[in-house]
Amino acid sequence: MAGPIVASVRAGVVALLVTQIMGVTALGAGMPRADAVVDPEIRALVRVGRARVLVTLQVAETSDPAQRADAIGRAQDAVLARLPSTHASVVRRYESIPMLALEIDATALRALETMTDVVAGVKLDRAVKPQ
Amino acid sequence: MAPRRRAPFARALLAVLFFLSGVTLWITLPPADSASSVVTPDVRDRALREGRVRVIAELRLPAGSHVPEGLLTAAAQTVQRRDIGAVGRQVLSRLVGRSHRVLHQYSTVPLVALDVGPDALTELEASSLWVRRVVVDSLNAPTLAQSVPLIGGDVAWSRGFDGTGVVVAIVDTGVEATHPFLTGKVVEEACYSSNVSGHSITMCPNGSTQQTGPGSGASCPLSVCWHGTHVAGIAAGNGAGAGVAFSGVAKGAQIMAVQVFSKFTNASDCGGSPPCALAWTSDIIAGLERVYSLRGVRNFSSANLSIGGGSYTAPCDSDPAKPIIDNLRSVGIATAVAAGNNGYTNALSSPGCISSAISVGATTKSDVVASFSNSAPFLSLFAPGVSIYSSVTGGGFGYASGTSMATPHVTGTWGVLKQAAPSASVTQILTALQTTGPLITDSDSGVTKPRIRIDQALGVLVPAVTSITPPQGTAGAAVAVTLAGSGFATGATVSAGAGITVSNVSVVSATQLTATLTIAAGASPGGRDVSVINPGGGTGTLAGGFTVAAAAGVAVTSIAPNQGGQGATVPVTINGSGFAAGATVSLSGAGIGVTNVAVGSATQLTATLSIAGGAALGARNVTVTNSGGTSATLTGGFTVVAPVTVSTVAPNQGAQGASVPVTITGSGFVAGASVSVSGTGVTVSNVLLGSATQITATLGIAAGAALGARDVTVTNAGGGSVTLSGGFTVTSASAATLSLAYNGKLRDRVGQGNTALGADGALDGTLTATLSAPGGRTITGLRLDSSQPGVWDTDGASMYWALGVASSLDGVLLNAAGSMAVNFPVANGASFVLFASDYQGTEFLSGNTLTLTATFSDGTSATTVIVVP
Repeated sequence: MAGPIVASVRAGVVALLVTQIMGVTALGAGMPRADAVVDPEIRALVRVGRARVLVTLQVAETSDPAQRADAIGRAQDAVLARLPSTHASVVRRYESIPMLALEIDATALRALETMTDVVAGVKLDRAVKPQ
Repeated sequence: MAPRRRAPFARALLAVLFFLSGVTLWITLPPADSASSVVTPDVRDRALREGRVRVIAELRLPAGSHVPEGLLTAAAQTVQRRDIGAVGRQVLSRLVGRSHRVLHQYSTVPLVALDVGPDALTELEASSLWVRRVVVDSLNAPTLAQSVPLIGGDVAWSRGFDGTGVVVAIVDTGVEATHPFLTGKVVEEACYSSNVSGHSITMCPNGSTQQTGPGSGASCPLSVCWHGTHVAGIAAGNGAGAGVAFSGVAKGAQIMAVQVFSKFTNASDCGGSPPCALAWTSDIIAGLERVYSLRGVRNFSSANLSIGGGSYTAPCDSDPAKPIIDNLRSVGIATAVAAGNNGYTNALSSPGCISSAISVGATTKSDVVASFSNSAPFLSLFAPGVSIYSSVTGGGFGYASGTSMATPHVTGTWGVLKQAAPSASVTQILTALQTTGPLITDSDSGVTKPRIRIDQALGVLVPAVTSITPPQGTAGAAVAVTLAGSGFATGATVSAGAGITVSNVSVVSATQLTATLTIAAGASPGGRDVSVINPGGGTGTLAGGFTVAAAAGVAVTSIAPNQGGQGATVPVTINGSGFAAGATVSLSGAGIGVTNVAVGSATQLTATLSIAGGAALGARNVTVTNSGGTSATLTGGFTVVAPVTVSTVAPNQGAQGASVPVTITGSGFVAGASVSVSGTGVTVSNVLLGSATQITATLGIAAGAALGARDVTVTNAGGGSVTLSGGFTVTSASAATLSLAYNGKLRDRVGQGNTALGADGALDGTLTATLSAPGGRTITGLRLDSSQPGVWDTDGASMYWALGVASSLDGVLLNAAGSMAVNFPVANGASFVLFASDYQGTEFLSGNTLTLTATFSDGTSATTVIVVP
């Protein structure tokens, strides 16, 4: 569930998110995304507030679905346990894919970047439109 | 690489979208011809002929060609809409006082629909400054009715494949489950929608950010939310319940409605026109994961994402949606994603750019790449996406164009193909579509990709069986068959119904395979459906293609010969009925091997029996067993007898030119035994088996047959044989002669009577007879006559007195006691002695005439006459 967003930075976040949304939807222009661990636009967004992101996690491959779901849950728990609670909130947890949807600020992003043992990448959670 | 846009949009087909529950119109504008009149000839002709005509007037915008709004910034959209309105008003002002009626005015496209008379038409023609052209407002058939047949959907339906039993997931703006086109189809629902302060508000019906269960996937409340219902109708709508003559591609499929859009309230987010609906990637992923989590409950074929944004000139496999799309693909669920509507010729939107997604570009019904459609070398497929008429919210229908509309054609196609090939992987179905669809070349980029053809893909995924040769077999038999048809794939298997085991399946080609059908002995007679199952589960069946015939009853009636000697090798013929190829023969007990079994017909077979030397004597049961296990036994049909032997041949000689009946004694003789005599000139006839120890035959001795001893061979019908060396002698045909001499009364060897071989106290007349005959003779009878008169002979049954015979004066009498018979050889020139009782005392007086007749074994005789000195 979405957590509280700091009111004082809301306007700036909105402006940057709009830029990102329009960059991939209405304007449609763009370049192929880089495979950076952290999308560069996230850094810009968290400088002024919170960003909605998708955190991909490192989970050992296994052919057993139950074992994989357990591993994904443990990885999610590990990330959340190491995030400063007031700087991030959970948007969605997934059971079958090693990923978390979060709203984070700069502090949380820095924390995520230190979790190289469990975090594989941080991508912007983009909004898309009907085609 | 930067994305490139295709040629100006105005050159291409223009589509006008209405969302009316009633009448809908479809307008196609032909290319303008600057050299000709604004009013096309057909418009002018119809106005003259009918007085009035419905037309579409294309407006000439001051900025030039119309640009699709999706390619414009919000500000540019505003300017273009303002120009459209201004030019429209200008044209309508010129029609004041003319016969006309405004049917539709449009805000986003430079068109006006009018009903005009000749005067208004003249005015329009004079308004070339504002009007580019005026064309007939033609009525068109609903285009799902066109697009579905275009992709072979109707053919697939006729083959029984319409998506029945399959669920397609529509991840979109929600679905109006009560729409008549979709009644009863929505079986799963979910909603994932987000509250993001300043940006989005959840549109889940319960106000939360996620919801599952009935009603959760309902269409969202914004004006654009017709989208999901339109998409769902294309994929799986069914016209039967809606009273329309067209249906979606997988009209038998069920739907999972997943609402993933959020209400965005910010003008910047919406490109200037809030509120709008956009979908967070995180919510899309959640929706897809819900599909994935229900895979064990619902038979999903595909998920539809008519959604996208951005532009990617290469696969975007770092996209966050890839893992869940990969998960779905790993369990056989395809994710069909719109290529995007930016008109790019070298780029796709996200998430359609993900390599494991099935990206879909849009084509027209004329198989031209739609002007708005993105395409790229890594695009998966094209599908119809221009002016597709499908269900919209409110219970009606409407036209829409976009890769959003092309995508559900693919989603529905997957439903149809998964019904036909349930275990086919995403790759197998994609390959089938890519290898069979007509190739469409994007003229702006040269990119060539296949447009889907369901019926053609079915031809690859689903085999058809047209014939089986031979079409029948007998219970218990193994039948090598050849199946003809189409779509046979490597690894295909064959089934042929109850009681038939299939083996040795070999796919010779896509149109031929061979197999062995082994029919159980107990298989019930009748027709069997024969199916070929491709690796993806696509199954082609020839109903009643193979017939199991009742096994003919097996019976054994005789075996010839029916006996054989120990140690013999006996070729036999077995008669009966129901003998089948592959039948075997066995004999009860030990010691008889069977080889060389050959079924000549259903009623006769041959075999060779090898009888061991130590095989037990006696009767054996003969059993014939067909390959299916059916058998029959002739109880005691064959007998093992002792080995054949020959001890005597009687008589054992014959003269040249004579025909000599002989009796052969020995053992082990069997029915059908034959007799042969070595050398030439002696033929055997009238062979008759008297018993296992006696055979009679007639030896025909040629006049020129060589003299001397011959070997006599008896050969049993079973092959056992034995030879009596020198058992028969050919003698000269020249007459034998006898000479006789009276020696006086010298010994008392016989008495008075026809069998009296003992002394009686009176000396017997004693004579010496000498044989003159080349090769000698065997004497089988003697008779002595006296002129006194008196007669003596060697026949005990006659009334004449006994004639004793000895090889010498004092030798043992050669007569058999009782019968008096003689049978003794006499060499050429040899003599023997005769004794005759002088029962009157006058028989041998001097001057009496004595006559001696000898009968030989060859049937000849000789006689000599003397006068007693």
